[in-house]
Parts: sequence; C-alpha cells; structure tokens
Amino acid sequence: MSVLKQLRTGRCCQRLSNLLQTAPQQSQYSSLSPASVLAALQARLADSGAVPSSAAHVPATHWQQSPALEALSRRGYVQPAYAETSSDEEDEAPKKVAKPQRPRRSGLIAVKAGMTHAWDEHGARIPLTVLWVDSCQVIQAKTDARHGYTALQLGIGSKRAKRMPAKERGHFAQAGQPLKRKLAEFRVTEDALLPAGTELRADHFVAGQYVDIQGTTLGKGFQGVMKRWGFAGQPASHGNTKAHRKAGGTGACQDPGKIWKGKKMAGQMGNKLRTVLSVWIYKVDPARNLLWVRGQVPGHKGNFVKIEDAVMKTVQQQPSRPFPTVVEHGSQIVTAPAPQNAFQVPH
Amino acid sequence: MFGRVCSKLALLRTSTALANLESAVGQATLATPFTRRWDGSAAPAASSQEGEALSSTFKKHAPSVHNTPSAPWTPTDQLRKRKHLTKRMGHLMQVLESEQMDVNTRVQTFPRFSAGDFLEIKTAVPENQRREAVFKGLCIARKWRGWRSTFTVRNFITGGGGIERTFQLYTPHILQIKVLRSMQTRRAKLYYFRNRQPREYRI
Repeated sequence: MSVLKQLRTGRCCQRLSNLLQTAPQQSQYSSLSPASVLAALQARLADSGAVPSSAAHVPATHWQQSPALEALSRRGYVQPAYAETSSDEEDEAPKKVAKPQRPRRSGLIAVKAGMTHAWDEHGARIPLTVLWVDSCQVIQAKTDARHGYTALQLGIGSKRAKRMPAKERGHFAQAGQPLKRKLAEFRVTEDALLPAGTELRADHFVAGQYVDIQGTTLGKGFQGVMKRWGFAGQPASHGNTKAHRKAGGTGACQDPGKIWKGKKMAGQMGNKLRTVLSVWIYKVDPARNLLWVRGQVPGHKGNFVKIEDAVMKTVQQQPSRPFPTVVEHGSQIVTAPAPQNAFQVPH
Repeated sequence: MFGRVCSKLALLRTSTALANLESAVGQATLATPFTRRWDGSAAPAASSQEGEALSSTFKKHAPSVHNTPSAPWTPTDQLRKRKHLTKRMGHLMQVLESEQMDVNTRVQTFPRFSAGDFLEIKTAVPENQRREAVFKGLCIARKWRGWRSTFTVRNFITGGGGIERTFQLYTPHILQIKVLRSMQTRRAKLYYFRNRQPREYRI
C-alpha cells in the first residue's frame, strides 16, 4: 500500500503511526465533541426548515462502535477462534482489536478565481491563488452500513433544472437538496459525518494550515517528448537529419526485444487530475467565502478544485482546526501570521 | 479595457488618494504588509472596521447603471442572471485587487509621474537591515495594471554601463518617489533610449 494510502486509511506501520502520533480522537481538533457539534448542526437545520432526507442515515452513536469490526461482521467474516473460546468473563476485551483510525474530516470544493500577490510584514512577496467557495453543501452522507464506506458527498454551485438530466435532478430530489453543478466525495471517519444540507463555508479551513488541492490541469494537447518529458533532443546542425526533437532510442536490442510498458513517448499532456500537496493557506474570508492560498493551483480560472487537509503534515505541524466543521461562523478576515524572520518561507 | 479603467483609477489615487479615502473609510488600518513601518515601528493592529471598509470599496467602484450587478462573491443560486464563471471570477479578481490598492494607498502616496520624468526613488533594502538606498534615473515605461502596475527606470553608471530597474508600484520597499525634472516626450514607452547616447538620459 502506498504511503499516502496508509496515512489516509490509518492502516500504517508502527513508524508511520509514531509520525502521526495518533492521540485520543479529539485532541488535535477543537475541544467540542463530535456529538455536540452534530447536535448543533442538526438543530440549526431543523430551525431553518430543511427537509431531512431519507438517504442521510446517520445513527446517533455511530462513533462509539468500531467501524472496522462492523464492516467485517457485515461481510460475514468470522472472528478468530481464540476470541470465542475459553472466555469465562463476558466483558473481557477481544484480543484482536482494530487500530483506532486517525479522525478525518471533510474537505471543500471551491472555484479557482485567479492569481494575485501580497507582501507580508517582512516585505517578502507571496504569490497567491484566490479560491471561492460557492455555497458548498452536504448532499449525501455515505455510511458503512448502507454503502460500504464512509464519505460525505458535497455539492457546489448551482445549475438550472432545464440543463440537468432527469437522473441528476432525481438524485438531488431524493436528497432534498438544491441542484448543484459539481459533486465530489470526501472520505471521512464516522465521527466526522454531517447531516445533509449542512453548508461548509471557507472558515472550515484555518489561515496558516496546509491543504492538498486537487484539480484538472491545463490541457496542452498532443505534445512531443521534449515538452512532455523534458527530453534533451538532438543537435540542430552538424549533419543531423530530420531528428531534432525526437526521442532517439526506445530500448535495448534482441534482449528484451520489446519496448517496456510505460516508456516515455509523445502523447496527451495535461487535462489530467492532479493534486498539489501541502499548500499554505494565507488568508480566509468567512463572510465572502474566499480562500487565499500560496502558489499555484491546477486548472483554469472557473475550475472546480477539491481541497482537503494536508496528508503529509503531522498534527503538530498544523494549527487547531474545527472538527467536524465550524458551528458558529465568524465574519473577520483572518490572515496567517508571518514567519519569524524575513528569510523563513512557510512551505 | 480593464487596463484603461485601472489607469484612471490609479491616477485618481495618486493625485488625491489619501484625502478622499481617509474621509471615506475613516480610521481604517491595515493587516498586511504595513503593520510594521519601514523604520521598525509597529503600526496598530487591524480593526474590525476592515470588513466594512472593504465592502464599501465594491460599492464605490460599482457602475452607475439602473440594473447594478450584484457583488461577484454572491452565491450562484442567488443570481438572477448568470454569466460564465470565468467572467465572474475575472470580475472578482478585479474587485479584490482594487480593494488591495485602496488599502495600500492609505499609507503610500506617489506623485504623478510618467515616462519622460527623471525620478529619484528611495527604497528600503531588506537584505541590508532595511537601510535606505537611492536609485535615480529616467522613467522610460509606466505599465498601468492596477495592483500589478510597474514602472521602469533607466540610468547610466560610469564604469558600469547602462542600468534599468523595474519596480512594482505597490511594493512596501519603495519609501518615496520624487520627480526631479521632466523632458518632453511624444511616446508612452521610451525604449529608444537603449540605443541612444547615455548623456541623453543620464542623471
């Protein structure tokens, strides 16, 4: 399993566990318990008159059960023999216990608005990308019992009913949510599930934290090896015949007698889904739902991007973030604190 | 089109910026990057008035037509008429950058200058404990792009040769710009001085 997947699922070796420093579940996040946050969000939805959907089946005590064991029992896995036999006391804990998963909260979908820049306190210039969260709402909560995995389906933007196929309209009607332009799923742990209709705003992320941003890169079309893979090419003159930008050799001789799979060749470049890791959030505007992040973000202006907490940052490297989301939204624009000296660049 | 609109706004700022804005936005203060002045003293921290002041910028620059468009950060489901996202995001960037310019012009004021003016620019060099350095020369180009505006200054140093330097207009490193004298020009960009004798543009 790749390192990224290990970190995301929590099924990692001892060394990575130490890196994550899996503490008790709510230590790195706000002091509010998921139960109280969920209750507050559900109360707010009830007050606003939102129709509770039948699809968002979120049991109240789901975080008290072990999700891994539940999944295994649902699939018909029989517990090992030593756990069943010779146990006189019924409250003896089973010897095989699933490792506690690192709590994982939802992300956001946003629209790439464009790039600008700012100068920090020391006068260092920071290139910035502006991301706009265009009313991102929870459409559906995917649970282990019903769907086989735990995730939140978020929707962003708006689309006219006329321009939407009937199947898509039916999906939103069943969820009881307004029609959205773009849907995306975010794998979460069960204690981070949110009721359908919850709006996630820009202050879901904290200024100064690191995030991963995923988007479809700019399409460059069919490109040659020099642009696509950075090949050096061949000389422009000195007798070179019609081979200035070619790849040159593609393999060995009779052995292996073939071209290996994955050989770098000309082809489609760009227009692929790519993730930029550990992007630093410079400024958050909760009132207007804007995020300023450092550096570049894949895709065009007007592109939809997925934003999630950085997977390659430890808990100690991130500031305190709201879990599972913010309950009371602020209105102050928050800028990340500048580094200690002028030559320390936060990456 | 955007360039010309921004140039007119920039002219307004450079001539009467501080007085107009101080009256309009009151005791507004900055969050970045001028919380620390160039001489090391700290400016007061940002107040809650920043939010209201920034939203007033949009109202100030909104066109005076009957069906005034709503703010570019309005959620799409609240819009009656929806233009393409790329257009709306371009408008959003324009509004955000003009807000940033308004914030900066509260502390930065520059004289009105153009290509053909001999300038003396005082900068604070960050690599040298923010000591003051002076750069003199002829302004050969002025690029009007709002928040991204720049100007290029050319000079000739004996024993060194010709030197050109391009400054970002709103950088916090520029402390003062002074116009020494002007020459008559019939162009906006004076790149022909690169092929002329240094005595014509040296100062």
